[in-house]
Amino acid sequence: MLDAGKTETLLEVNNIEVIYNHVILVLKGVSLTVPKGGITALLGGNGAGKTTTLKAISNLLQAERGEVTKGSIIYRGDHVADLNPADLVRRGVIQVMEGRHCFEHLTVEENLLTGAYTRSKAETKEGLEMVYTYFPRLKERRTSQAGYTSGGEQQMCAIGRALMARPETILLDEPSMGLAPQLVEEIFTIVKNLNEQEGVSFLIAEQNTNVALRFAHQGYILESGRVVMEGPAAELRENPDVKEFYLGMGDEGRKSFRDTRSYRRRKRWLS
Amino acid sequence: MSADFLNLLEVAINGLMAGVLYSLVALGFVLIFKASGVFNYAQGVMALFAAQTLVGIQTGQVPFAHLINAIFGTEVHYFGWNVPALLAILFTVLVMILFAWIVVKVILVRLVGQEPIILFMATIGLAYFMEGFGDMMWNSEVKRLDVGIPSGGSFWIEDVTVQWAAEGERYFGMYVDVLDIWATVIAVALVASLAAFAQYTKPGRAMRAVADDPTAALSVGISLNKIWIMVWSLAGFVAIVAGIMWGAKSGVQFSLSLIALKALPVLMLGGFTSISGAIVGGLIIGVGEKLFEYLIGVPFLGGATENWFAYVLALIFLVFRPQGLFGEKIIERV
Ligand SMILES: Nc1ncnc2c1ncn2[C@@H]1O[C@H](COP(=O)(O)OP(=O)(O)OP(=O)(O)O)[C@@H](O)[C@H]1O
Ligand SMILES: [Mg+2]
Repeated sequence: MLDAGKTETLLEVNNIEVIYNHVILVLKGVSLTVPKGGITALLGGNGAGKTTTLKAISNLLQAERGEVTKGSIIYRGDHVADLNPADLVRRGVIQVMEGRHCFEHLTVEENLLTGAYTRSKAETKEGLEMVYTYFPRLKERRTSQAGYTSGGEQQMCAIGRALMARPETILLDEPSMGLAPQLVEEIFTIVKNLNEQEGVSFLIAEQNTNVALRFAHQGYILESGRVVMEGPAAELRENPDVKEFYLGMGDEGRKSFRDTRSYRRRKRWLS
Repeated sequence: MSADFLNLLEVAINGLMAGVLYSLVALGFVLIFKASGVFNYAQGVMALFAAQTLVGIQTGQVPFAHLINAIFGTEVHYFGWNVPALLAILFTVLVMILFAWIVVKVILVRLVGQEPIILFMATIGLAYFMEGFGDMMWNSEVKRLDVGIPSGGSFWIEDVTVQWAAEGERYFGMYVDVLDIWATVIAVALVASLAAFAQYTKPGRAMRAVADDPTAALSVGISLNKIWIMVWSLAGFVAIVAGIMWGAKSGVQFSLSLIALKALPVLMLGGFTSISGAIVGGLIIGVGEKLFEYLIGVPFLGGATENWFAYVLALIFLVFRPQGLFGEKIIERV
């Protein structure tokens, strides 16, 4: 889907700074772009700031006493930092939150229908059919209470629910969390299909660098609130530092980081 | 049937009908608590305010008459017209929607993400503000409320039940107030339509979604403010109905706001998050307190047990089932 060379930029995050509770500085200048029709991975370890970045974009940050204090967020040429989440959903940007957050006491189908809150009746019906073709499992479980479905099904439910809003861009936060490897594979495959067949662009925050870089077109690596590396996914996959620190396969069996080039570079990222 | 049994039955039926009203008030609490996590201390005052407003509009009272007269040296009290009951109810609904809007925009929005206790205190402030505001707007005299619901003992029921008594018993028939029957019918219809609304409509579904997970609801583009305004309006509507019933029975006066105190044990019993709990809890409390008073209170304890019995019953339930009778099951997966 992603056609290098003549891609249109959908989302542009320019050097944003995020502060929680007026004092805790969490993002210290993050910039990234999401091209139309692409899958972009946002990688990094615990507490790197991935979720914060996604929430800054979707404007869910306000509800958590977080604030973008510097920089700008531009979607399709418009500044969107001051909109509310509902406005953003109407513009085509929706977030699937970390930890899935299905409506537990609603059935799977009711969950999906809630996703179409901003849509008309006809669009809702169409959307439901579309979601069920990509997630046949959800169709089987449509009348179950979401709280009683499996983790994988809940993740599908959360993605399906977001799809019901007919978004152009989905911000997907850690879809692999707590799922068995083959389920992770299944979900990323569906994401890839959605990307290729429905033209949905994705920005995916992931700790599972391996899977994310296999499915993404390009990636950003975040550390302590800064982007420390970026590039096409294939290049990142081959990068020795990424291999060592994120893919867990350092060559030459280096065990001591002390005198390696990578270590020094890593030090620089951290400073 | 023996006369004793028929008397007991009469007490139970009257308790059931009082219970319906308790349920209705409790329902107002549950709606708001579920959707916005706020324990709305002002629910009882909302019923009082609604009843005052209804009577005021119906009888053509000039709002803020005292204030106007004090400032301009005039002597206005009434416009001199009467508004038909149905129209007056409609206006009252509009007033309560406006009230909901103000509460959300002025108070709740500013307190988003605060501790529940802070929100609770805000509603205490709101309750006393409303009480004063209601008195200022419509004055604090005791008023009669009559929207045309028939009242008085039902002769039909009396005639029918007289024949149930066994041969030779001294029994004069059962006393059931028609107003109570109407109140029950209306309350049942209201509850059924609220349940249907929550279950089958788009805003109803959004309301349940917000109750389940507000952040997730926000993330799919549901505006919490809108849902809150809707829920407070619904609670306002429930308050109107409760205010009409209670007001028709015992007049519109300050004590009307104390029906909230009757709803508390219902909530303790039924759970704060369960609509069915509010309904069943209300009925149990209504029947329970009347029967207790009749069987034990009056003969052995000197009466007036209705003031505390409900709380004791609720406390006992609470100890054994803290989540309430129908408290929503907390879904936990391992
Ligand atoms: N609501 C909040 N208030 C204060 N600090 C917060 C809040 N949310 C996150 N943080 C802090 O911000 C930093 C970044 O958190 P964030 O959740 O964005 O990381 P992440 O990359 O998503 O991590 P993970 O992979 O564990 O989800 C962490 O240090 C975290 O403690
Ligand atoms: Mg995260």
